[in-house]
Amino acid sequence: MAKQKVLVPYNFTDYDGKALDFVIQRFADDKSIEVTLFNAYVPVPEIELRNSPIMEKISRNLGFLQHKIHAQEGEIRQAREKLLQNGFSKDRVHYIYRAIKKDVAQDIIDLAIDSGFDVVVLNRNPSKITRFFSRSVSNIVINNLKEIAVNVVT
Amino acid sequence: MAVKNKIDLDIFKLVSEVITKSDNIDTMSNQLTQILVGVLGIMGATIFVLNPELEELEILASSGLSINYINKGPILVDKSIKLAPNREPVIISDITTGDRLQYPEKAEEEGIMAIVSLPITHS
Repeated sequence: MAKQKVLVPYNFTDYDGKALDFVIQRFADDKSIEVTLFNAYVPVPEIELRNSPIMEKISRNLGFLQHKIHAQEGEIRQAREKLLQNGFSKDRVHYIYRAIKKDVAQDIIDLAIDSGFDVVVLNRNPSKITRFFSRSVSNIVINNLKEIAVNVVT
Repeated sequence: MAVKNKIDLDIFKLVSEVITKSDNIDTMSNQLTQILVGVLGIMGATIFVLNPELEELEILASSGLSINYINKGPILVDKSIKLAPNREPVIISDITTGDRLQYPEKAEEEGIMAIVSLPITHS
């Protein structure tokens, strides 16, 4: 039986934790399900040094920040570990941690389509005033994915 | 103008580039916090948006701070850094003294020693 691929965008919030709990309850016992956790981080901007001591100092500080971002990969490994401890086998749980390509919503859409995912599990953060400035990721994903089931955990 | 008060032109250009280069507010605001960390040599920076209904500060972007600290809980306007009524900048030079933070123990665990809060307002 062909495996069903489930994509779970994961951004380390409590709401993402709820989505993870849903995935455990819904899919842990189904051996035909394969889960991929996905996080796209914003990389530090590249800067021109311009032979400036100040820019070199900024570059060093940003290098430290980049190191911290890479270290954050450990958090998504922990989420994977949670799935492993709750019924998933190693070959059924993967993760992708990489720099953002376009924007979070478009990256989810592209990954879901290009990698042939069957289901996407999203979460919604209620009452987010920040949506006033940027569109809801879940709304964009729902509106742009065809023939892929999208579960929204609230 | 004293030398220490001058803004380096390269830094000004860098900030301008980050703000104008991205057409996505998440990327732009996150890179702005990254530049703040890089330029000021500080531990972390966060941009909040005020939710007037819930009287909470919601995180728009953050850099340099741990996931645990970012997820410490809701940040209530009344209980977090006590803002002056006219929303002036607030400087807490030593977080271990006074009662101006909502989560002082979390800040201490994170290794934060001082906090500067700068309201971004419009008229």
